[in-house]
Amino acid sequence: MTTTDLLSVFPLLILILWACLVLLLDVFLKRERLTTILTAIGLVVTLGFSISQNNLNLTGFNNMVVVDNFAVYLNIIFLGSGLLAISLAHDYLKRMGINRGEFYVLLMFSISGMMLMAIAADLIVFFLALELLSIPLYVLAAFARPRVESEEAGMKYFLLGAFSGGFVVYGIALVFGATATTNLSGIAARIAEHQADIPLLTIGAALILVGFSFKVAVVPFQMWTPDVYHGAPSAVTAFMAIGAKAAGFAALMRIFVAALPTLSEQITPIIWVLAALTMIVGNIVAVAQSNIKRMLAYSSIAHAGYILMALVSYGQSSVASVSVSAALFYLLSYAVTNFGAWAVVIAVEKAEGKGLALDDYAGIGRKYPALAAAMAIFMLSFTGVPPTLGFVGKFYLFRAVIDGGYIGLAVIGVLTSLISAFYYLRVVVIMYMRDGEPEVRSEPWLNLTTAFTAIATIVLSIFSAPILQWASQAILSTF
Amino acid sequence: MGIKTLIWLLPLPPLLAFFIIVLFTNRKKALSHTISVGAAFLSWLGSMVVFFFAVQKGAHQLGEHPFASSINWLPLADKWLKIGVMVDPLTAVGLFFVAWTVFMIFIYSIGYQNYGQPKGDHDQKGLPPHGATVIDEQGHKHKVPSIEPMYSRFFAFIGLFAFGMYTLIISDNMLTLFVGWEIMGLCSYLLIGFWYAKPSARAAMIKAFITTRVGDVFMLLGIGALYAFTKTLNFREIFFNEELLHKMATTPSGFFGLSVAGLIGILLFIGTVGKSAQFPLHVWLPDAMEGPTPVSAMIHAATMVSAGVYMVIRMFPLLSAGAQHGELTSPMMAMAFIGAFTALFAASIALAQNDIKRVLAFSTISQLGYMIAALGIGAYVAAIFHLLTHAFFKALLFLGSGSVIHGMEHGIYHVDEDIDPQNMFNMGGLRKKMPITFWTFLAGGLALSGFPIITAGFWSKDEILADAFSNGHWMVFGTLAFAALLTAFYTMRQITLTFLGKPKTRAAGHAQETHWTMTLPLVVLAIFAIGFGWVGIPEQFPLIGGLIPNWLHDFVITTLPHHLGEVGFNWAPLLTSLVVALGGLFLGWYVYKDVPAGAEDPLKKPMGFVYKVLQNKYYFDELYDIIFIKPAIWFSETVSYLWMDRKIIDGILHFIARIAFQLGTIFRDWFDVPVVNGFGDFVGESTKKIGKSLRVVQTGRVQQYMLIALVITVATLFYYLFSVFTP
Repeated sequence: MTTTDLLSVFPLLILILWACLVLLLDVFLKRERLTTILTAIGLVVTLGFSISQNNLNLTGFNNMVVVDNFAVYLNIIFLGSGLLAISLAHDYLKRMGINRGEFYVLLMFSISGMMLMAIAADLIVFFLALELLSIPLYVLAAFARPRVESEEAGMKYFLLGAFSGGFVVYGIALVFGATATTNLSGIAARIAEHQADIPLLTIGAALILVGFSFKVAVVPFQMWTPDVYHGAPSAVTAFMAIGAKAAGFAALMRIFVAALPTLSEQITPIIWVLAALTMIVGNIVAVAQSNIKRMLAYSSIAHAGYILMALVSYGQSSVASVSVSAALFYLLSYAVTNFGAWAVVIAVEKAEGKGLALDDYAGIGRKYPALAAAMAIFMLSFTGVPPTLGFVGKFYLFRAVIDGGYIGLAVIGVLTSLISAFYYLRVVVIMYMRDGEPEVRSEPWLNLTTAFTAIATIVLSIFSAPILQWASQAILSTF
Repeated sequence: MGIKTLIWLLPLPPLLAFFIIVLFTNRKKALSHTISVGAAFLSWLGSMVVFFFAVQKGAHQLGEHPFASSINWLPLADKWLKIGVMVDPLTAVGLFFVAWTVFMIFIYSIGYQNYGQPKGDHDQKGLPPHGATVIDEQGHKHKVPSIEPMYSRFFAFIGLFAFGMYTLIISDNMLTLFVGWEIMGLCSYLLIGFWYAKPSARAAMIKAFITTRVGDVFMLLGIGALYAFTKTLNFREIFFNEELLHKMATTPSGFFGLSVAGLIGILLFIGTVGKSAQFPLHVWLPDAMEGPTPVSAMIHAATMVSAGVYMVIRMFPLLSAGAQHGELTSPMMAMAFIGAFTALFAASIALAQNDIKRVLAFSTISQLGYMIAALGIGAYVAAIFHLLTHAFFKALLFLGSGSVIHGMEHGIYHVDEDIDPQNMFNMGGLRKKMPITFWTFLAGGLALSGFPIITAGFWSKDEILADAFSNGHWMVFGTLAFAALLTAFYTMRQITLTFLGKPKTRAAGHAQETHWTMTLPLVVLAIFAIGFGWVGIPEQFPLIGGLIPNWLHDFVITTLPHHLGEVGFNWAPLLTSLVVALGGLFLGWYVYKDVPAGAEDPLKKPMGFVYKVLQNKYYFDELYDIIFIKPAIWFSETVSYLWMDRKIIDGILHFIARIAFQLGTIFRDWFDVPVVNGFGDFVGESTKKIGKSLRVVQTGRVQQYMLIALVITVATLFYYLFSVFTP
């Protein structure tokens, strides 16, 4: 193992070791608060190391991992999401009576899986990362045991996760069969030398696509999402909706853009259909939801469809980098908005799954104007109305899709955004125009998260240029 | 902190105040107004610092290298859409008047909304306060004014209003200018309808919003056309690019024989017609009186209508693109014509109004007409000058009228008389009761009528007339001169009826001077109404010309890429403006000097039918009602609702619903029941309640999910293999 190897996985190592340490310490710590603080410290330190990897462009372990700006960008999103998840969970776990230290440890393990996913450059490593990020999430989904919904969510997530893992492994096997290597650079080289069995490779790639489509909740592989998002504790759902999705897209972008651009003739139509279906189904079904968690679940499906649009033009090298940075920016904007929305959900939620119906939001506008204003900002951002991050994200994304020449898909995207306005704005209407007697939790960290994300949603949309530039520098290394 | 950062920060305090009040402090009145006024103070302070630096930098320096800073906002194709701020000489003087008037209006609002008074007996939200009964030490019952029930809300809204205006003024591009423009549109809607329980206020807010919207749509078209042609919305990139301006002025647009510059100019000007209440979109402004008086001052002086004029002044290089010597471009012609016409038309209506605020409303429309007309004939500096002086004296007059109304209300509570506190024929003799209000109002009134030498209004109005005269625009000159006569007349009529003579009602006899928070702003604004004219005295004016350099001209003229010279002095316009101002004032005083209590307007009989037409504002409201509103209501009720909605759209929906229902039934009978049953009996339970037990999870829906995913994947793969292996 060389220094470069070590350097490339250094933040990851820190996080994993720290997680093990916290796991041990947690037994002796009397107060849960300390675990929270230790976890936050671990994440911040890792974040620092991750940022320091910017512009380093390392490869390690015989090209099995690659640390480029793309990976750094995603790692920052993962770690930031982790921090936001902690601040959401801190009081929530206590209130729900599930304040156990394992939560934080599992969270850290899951984040390390995501970070491994971002730097993976070998199909085996991808699979390893997938399992590393997923297994803690299964446990976290079931974290509210013995609540049946939560256990059910964990079980379902696990079964579907195992099932989708099967697809990935089978896909990897077929790709190996077609190219005799699992390394992305090796695969690219084999294809370039015309030594790959293209039909077999295509089937393998399609199966990998299917496997990760489960993770990012793309139609028709999304069925687990509403049940799991609904059943899992809200703080976990908020994290899952960002982390798992971003990690899944990281894998898809890395594998397809970096190693398989030559397959675009076969794969692009599939992605096109998947993206269109996801946007349509996600948005239309969301209209019918009366439970806020289920609504946000379908909304997250719909947003997966938007991000997937960026992959459609992955084969055109001139557009691919723009598309990737558009997707990265969209992930960030979705992450900020999503955490904000979940923070509001958590503030309104009560024990035993009460306070989750849309009707429970009636009267919030009058009684809690600040909270209602924040929620209105998040809903507008989800819809894509300026001046919010959602608008800039969608703008950039649609522009990339149109640059790639897929105007039809962009039109579907715009029209489905229009549909989405219906169910997002309905929340705003209910909050402001219906009378009700809502009871809302006011917890310092929760309020801080809400305020922070709400302000970020507005301010970052006005001063979005630096982030856009950062995202556009986060280019994948190609082989 | 650099000056550029400071410029960025200027609009923020009022915005923050808005959010803080709305979100947190809305139940605490004192805290809310402290935050709001404090924010206005910060913006004022910042504006003064920026203004000071701008002046210190010197006109030519600033004109060529304004304080400017911009950021990339959205990536468009190969470049960025930038937004930013800029302070050039025009912005600097704009900031000056906005900062002062806004700050004064904020302070005034504290007193106007009766801070410190008890809660009203029957006051409710959405209605003006109706007074409270208090019992003094001797056990006497008194009725006194009561505090506004939605006090904090008011301060929040005017904060947002101020934010819109600051944003508009410091914008360096059309996009953020438009954002500020629309924020003000929203705020005017919210504030005109502040007392939303009054049907008249509701009607006025809708009227204001929709009328200005007509202009805004055209303006947006103009902005779109501008961007499409120039690929930028930055002012300086357009105005300082001579080649581009020339190209715009010579390329035909294909509409009505206008050049591209002409078309864009006219579209933008229509935006101003709506915002600055020019004929024929003037109808909303008089009704905007329904809002509280500080709002009227805000709309009429400091912000909204000034924004419209500011925009066309800002766009002047574009509007005048292609103008040869003495020849006007199409947008300029339109402006000269509409401006002059509006000036006269509104002044004539003001003659026959009895409501103290309504007179001022029409005088605003008329004075805005002056500015538009001035710009139309190329009198760039004169238009800016009049915009500034007008902002000061009109803010003063509105606040003064609010003070009068307050004093009258006090009298009404005192004597318990049921009269309209805004009708001038109920007033009289307030000079002695409300001395500060009287003297400041007099200063404002004289400035409005252009009283020679000592008032600011004289200098700015005289400059417009002189410009029109020396450039040979006789029609404009004549119209404006006649309008000036009417202006002086109705102003003196107002002052005479309100302040001079004897009280016409008992209430007027018991009126009382208002709180210092109201009179202090009056005094400050009165100083400007008198003194601000001194910055723009023409160099060649007899006797005093040249004593003080014509600072304003030298300063703002550097905003333009091509500097215009000062017009030469001529006795004719000066004499005209002396005659019309003094003559109008004298006539106004003479006719109304001893109108007895309860008498009609002395002009009503001699003018007969004409008076009635004027009083009813030429029946424009009625006309618009017949040609726009009634048909629109008919259309929406009959065509849109009955035909489109009920018959066509509902019909289609019902049709689709029926088909969907039948499809659903078919699916259930032919797919769901047999296929789902194929899995076993567990499904029945699981569909009733989603996942009640693990048994259901393990054996039920998850398998279904997996099966669907598997079927789709395998089917796609088979399809692919099929297409690969069959030639």
